[in-house]
This record gives sequence, C-alpha cells and structure tokens, in this order.
Amino acid sequence: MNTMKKYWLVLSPDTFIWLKGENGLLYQSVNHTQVPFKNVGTIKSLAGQLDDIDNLYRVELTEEMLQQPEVNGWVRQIVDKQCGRLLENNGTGNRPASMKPVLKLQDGVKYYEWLHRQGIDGCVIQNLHEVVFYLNGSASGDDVLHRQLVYPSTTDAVADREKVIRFVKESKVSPFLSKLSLAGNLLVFPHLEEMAEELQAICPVKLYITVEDALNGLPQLKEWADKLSVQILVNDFPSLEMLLDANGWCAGLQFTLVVTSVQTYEAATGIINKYGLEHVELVPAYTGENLPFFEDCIYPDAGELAGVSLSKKDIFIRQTLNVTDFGKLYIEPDGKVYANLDNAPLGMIDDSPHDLVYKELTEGHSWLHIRDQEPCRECVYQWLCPSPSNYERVIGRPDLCKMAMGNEA
Amino acid sequence: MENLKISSKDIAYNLVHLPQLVFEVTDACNLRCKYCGYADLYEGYDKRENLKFPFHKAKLLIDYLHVLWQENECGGVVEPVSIGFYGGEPLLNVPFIEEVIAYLEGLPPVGKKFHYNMTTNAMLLDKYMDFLVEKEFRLLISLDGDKEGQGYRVDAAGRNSFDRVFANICLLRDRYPEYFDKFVMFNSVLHNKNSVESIFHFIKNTFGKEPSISPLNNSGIRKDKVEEFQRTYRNYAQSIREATNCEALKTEMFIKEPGTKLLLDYIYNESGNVYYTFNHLLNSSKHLSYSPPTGTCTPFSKKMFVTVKGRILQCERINHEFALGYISDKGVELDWDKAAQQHNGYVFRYERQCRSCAHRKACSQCVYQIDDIQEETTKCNSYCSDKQAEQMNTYCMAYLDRHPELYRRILKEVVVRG
Repeated sequence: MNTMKKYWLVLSPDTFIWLKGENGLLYQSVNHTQVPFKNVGTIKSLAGQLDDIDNLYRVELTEEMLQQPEVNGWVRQIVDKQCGRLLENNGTGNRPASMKPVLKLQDGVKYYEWLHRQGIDGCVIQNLHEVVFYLNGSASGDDVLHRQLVYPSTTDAVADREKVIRFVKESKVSPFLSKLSLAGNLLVFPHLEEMAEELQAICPVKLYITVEDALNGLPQLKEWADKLSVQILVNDFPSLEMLLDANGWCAGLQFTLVVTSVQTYEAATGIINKYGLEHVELVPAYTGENLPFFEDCIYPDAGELAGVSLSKKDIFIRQTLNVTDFGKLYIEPDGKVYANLDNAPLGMIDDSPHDLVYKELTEGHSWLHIRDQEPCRECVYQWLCPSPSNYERVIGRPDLCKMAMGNEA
Repeated sequence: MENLKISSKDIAYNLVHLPQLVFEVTDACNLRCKYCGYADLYEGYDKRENLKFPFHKAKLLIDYLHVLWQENECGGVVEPVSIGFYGGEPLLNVPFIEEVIAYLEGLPPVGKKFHYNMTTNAMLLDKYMDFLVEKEFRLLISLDGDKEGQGYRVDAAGRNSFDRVFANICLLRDRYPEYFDKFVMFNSVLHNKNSVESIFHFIKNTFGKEPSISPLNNSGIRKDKVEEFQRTYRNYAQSIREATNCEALKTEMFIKEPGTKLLLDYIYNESGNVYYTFNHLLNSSKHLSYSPPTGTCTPFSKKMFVTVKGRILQCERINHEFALGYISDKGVELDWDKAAQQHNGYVFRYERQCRSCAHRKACSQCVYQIDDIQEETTKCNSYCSDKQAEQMNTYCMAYLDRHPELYRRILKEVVVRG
C-alpha cells in the first residue's frame, strides 16, 4: 500500500500567476510580494495546472515532488510570501479551492455594440470623464510638450466659444463628467471668465496657462484664482521665479513643472524648497534630445518592478484600459477632437459627445490601448508596468523598459 | 450616513432616465387564480373593482415625463424606455394599450426609444396576437406547467384554464415562429400542484424555453389565511431536491438552480473579480461608492408603476400605501422632495441594522417587502451576521468544489441585469 503523503498547493485569490515561456511570476496583490521562477520541469507542470481556471487554483503535490529542491524552494517561497498555502491532503474530500483572479467586465465594448445595433446606447456617454479644450495657442506654447501633457501649442487658431459651451452641455448627461480643462493663452481669449463661470455651473473647471503668459496678466490671474482652479505650466524656471517674486498670493495656484534632465529636476526641486511651493507636480517630458535622461531616470528596471504595489483591481484596470487616456477627450482650437493627441482625430466639436465616445470605444486606439503588444505581451511583468504612455508614442518605442524582454527572473 | 440620503435631485435624475413605465391597464381579470396577489390570501392592495385605466390620465403622465425628457435631451443619446402593461389581465383593455402606443409614437423625438412589454395569462392571445407581434411586445406568459400544474389558474366558473391557454400559445408559436422565438418568455408559480421539475421540463420540452419559476409571495399574507397559504406553498430548493434526477435538473437549470444562484451572487459580490462597467472598475466617482441602507431601489431608478386608480408607485410589487404621488384629472401630483423624504424615512429605519450586516454592500432587500415596516421594532428579513456570512461563503466554496466548471461558466456566460 502506498503511504506516501500528498498535499494540496492552493494559491490565494489575490495572487496572480503569469507564465511566459520559460519565465513565470507570482504576484500577491495584497502584500505586494513576488515570486519569480523558471517555468521548467516539474514546476512548469504544476504552474500550468494552477493556471487552468477549472482547477480552482489548486494542484496536488506528492512528497516525492516536494523533495525536488527546485519544487521545494518554489513552494516554500509561495507559502512564505503568502501567495498560497500548502495543506496536507488527508483524503477526506475537504479540498481547498480558490478563485483565480480573472476579471469579468460585464458591460464592455461588445455590450455597447449590441445596444447600438438595437438603436439604444444611452449609457456609453457615461464613460466621458474629462474634456480638455485648447482655446488658442500661445507664443510660449510648445508643440512637442503639447503631445505629452496638457500644454498649449503654438497654433494661431482660436476656438469657437459657442461650440465649446454647446459641447459641454451635450456632455453633461454623463454623471461621471468631473473635470473641464481650458488651456491656452487664456488672457487673450475673449470673455474667458464669463465662459468659465458658465461651464463651472455644469462641471468643475480648471484653467491651464503657461508661466510666461501668466506674467503678462497677474491682476487678471489673481481674479481667476479666487474663483477657479488655476494650473501654471512651467517650462521656464526663471519665469516661475519672477512670478513667485512678483506676488504673495500663489497659495491658490497649482503648478506643473516640466522636467527634461537631471539639471532641470534639481532646479525644480530647488525652487520648490526655496518658495515652499505646495500643489506641485513634476512631469518628465521628452524633447527629442534627452533620451539618455529617460533611459536613466524614467525607464523602469527590475528593481523598480520588484517594488511595485498594485492591488488586484489596479491590475484588472491595466488589463482593460489605458489609465492615462480613458475617459478624456481633447479638443483643439480648430475644432478637431482627439482621444489622444498622438492619434488621428475622432471627429469635430460639432459632433455629439456621445458619438465621439462611442467611436473611440469601438474603433479608437487610445482609451483601450493596453500593454498587450510585442514585446510586452511576452513579458511576465506585462501587467505590473504602467499603461502605454505618450512618451512611448513620442519617442517611437513600444515600451520604455530596461528589462530586455522583461524576463530577468 | 446622512449624506447617503436622497434628495429631489435624485428623483429628478431618475425620472429623466426612467427605464420603465408600467401601467396597471385594468384591475379586472378573466381568471381567478387562488394565489393571486390581489386575491383572498393577501392584504394591502386596493380593492379590485373591474376598473380600466383612463387614457386621459395616461396622457397627462406621458406629457409630464416628455417635458422632462425634452428639457434634458442630449445629442446622439438614445435611451430605451420600456412601456409595460400590467393587470389584472392587460388584454382586457387593449383599446387603452393601442391609444397609449399611438400617442407615444406620435410625440416629437426626445432621445428615447420605446419598446413594449406585457405579462398575460394568454386567455385572449388568439384575439390580439397580430397587434402584439406588430409592436414586438416582449411577452411574458403565465403558465404553471401542464394541466395539473395549471390547476389553480381557473376561470370564473372554476374551470382549469390550461386547454385554452395552451391552444393559444401553440397558435402564436405556429403563426409567428420568429416572434415567438425572440420575444416570448414564460413565468410560472410554484405551488403544491406542480414542481420545479414538472414545470421546467414541460415548458422546455414543449416550447423550447426555460421558464422563470417563482414560489408564492410570502409577504402581505392575511393573518386568517396563513394556514391555507402554508398548504399551498412549495419550497423551491426542496422541490428541486425531490426531482427524479436532481443533479441532471440542476445542471440543466444552471443559474436558475438555487445553489448555483448563491454561488453566482458570491462570485459577483465577494470575489472582487466582477465589475459591471468601466466606471465600476475605475470606481472614480462618488456615484459608485454610494451605499445607502438596504437594497431598496431609489424611486424610479428602475421603474414607475401607475395603478388603475392613478397612484404612482416605484414598483408593482409593493403595497399601495407607499404611493409616492398620483394622477388627478388635472395633472401629475408628484412632489419630488416629499418622495425623497418618504424613501429616506423608510430606508433609514434600518440604518443601525445595516451597519453591522455582512451583506450591506450587496443587499437585495427591499424594505417594502418587510411586513412590519411600520412597527418601531421592525427587523430586516435579510440581516446577515458575520458568522452567517462566513458559513455562506464556506457553503459556496464547497459547492464550487463539487462543480468546479461553474466558476468559468459564470464568468463567461452569465449577465446579470437589475
């Protein structure tokens, strides 16, 4: 009679298992620990069984298997890092079971397409969360930055005020619309304050203006800052110091400081400390000439990926949609509407917001642009990396990664 | 929890996006079903007086809603509105139904697409099927299974309605097979003259449809009728257990089987793997973290029900004393503030119980189904302690262990709508 002991290895429902060729990774989304492993031999067979959803995240182990050093070390790591449990299989039928973390998004794009075929698609517009209106260009605008963050371009075009208001009124049917951004050289846009207040009655409004433009109208800026949220865009730090030296009412302002090198990063932090600035975000930007800065300071490496702290839901989100782009429309002064300024326009400001949202969800390349392409889809860190960003589009690479196919495990 | 109370703004929002408007077309019926919610076993409803809904009142209500819809119309957005015709037996007042539909279809477009539904006993189906098919009515036919199962669905003379109903359904199927396939469903009541197995197999084998089977409503029983109710009542899960081949029936019924339904609820509510929409997944808005006491719908978030006497309720399944407004000869009397306050008043009676209830985030208890709601000591029927929840979770995982394929099937095949 065979008296060899048997065990159940069962993974936690909070643990993800990713298998890519000879590489495997377990990621525990509550305590954020990882178990990278070589997906070969007995481990490959065991991991494959765990990965099969119908096995309820459990696999039977024999004592003989556990005596294999690789398997033993792997199982020990799984247990020690609370990615799973090892239980004796006493044959009583009380088998452990667990539900592999697989997302079910009930009403996704297919549902919207089905509704559309029935001629009823009212809920699609609920995916519109933010609209960025570029009202005009600016002499201090920057066409490269414009493609990476909310920053004015240098265009001469000027938005049609009535069309902006109509678009917002048509968008308000989305209960999830939570932000309207107005950007450009706002000081020269006719009746800006009046329009902003009208829009504010529908949805919170934020103004974006470069620090150079702001310096040309400080009294006006102060008036706006008393009523509205104002974000100062800074790509020229001496101008920022001028602004900060010129007045004592900056408490209500928020700042975006563009960082393109180690030197600009140091300059930015120096100003933040000198003036005690609050409400500041440092945003890296690609200039076309600073790739080494991105490679050294922005691209994630194995150490950074090992320190990722994402919840199960964070991972599901990354598997489903683009965290940066989803829910946002950008409208240029010439009326063209984009889901991302690096992709083709979706339509014009004269189109209904509903139709634009439907088009982006069903045909677009921005809101649902996830990290599912080569080489990322062959990498076990695929879903621990951020959503694809504008930097990748501007730099022209499918990933910003030092992982050499990502598999340094 | 104060900020979870609803206001007139919520009522307005719900009316603007009203998904379903249901008219009690008539309180008359050509059957005398023993277990009917308006019959002897139950209390709390207006006395049945063979009334018919007057069209001019329906017009007043439609105009009232149409103004709201017009004011809030947004380009490109077309929302579905289901117009329901409820009874009594709605086919006893078809002229009203025809007038309502003609009126709705003659109104200027306001970003709404109307479709129609009806629950019928099918006694008059032969007479009106052409009209129902033309308007693509979603038809829910009440049929309790075979002739024996239909035994409580009798006419005024006490005769079993099965032969006539069955003939009418067959006629519809034969004359309009595509319509029948797409738009017809069955609803059955479980009692001591039928069983889940007999109902399910009779309807599936005869018409190729899986019926919805409900036990008798156990809310609002007259005190002097409790014994009679208990004799007539049959427990759903028990009836499945008593089936000839219980396991085969369970597999065939999939999520209509109570154990699988429990597992479905567990996976939807407790696994953290199921999200209804992109917004639900992102959970970026206060709208989705909204978790007021109990699972009671906010008024008009799912439907508006209007009784034959013009009372406006949020659902046909609740006692008429909870009406939120009414339609007079002059117009619609619906005070949004008052409706919100009434809702808050009843729902927040259970606030303290909800705080410690393990099901508070996935509650489906409607407060209006709690019989002692007016009592100060009222207790929620669905309160669940942590220990009970733990036991339920253990039960669900053990059930899943016995049917491991159900996790994949539920994730892939099931869609849950409110």
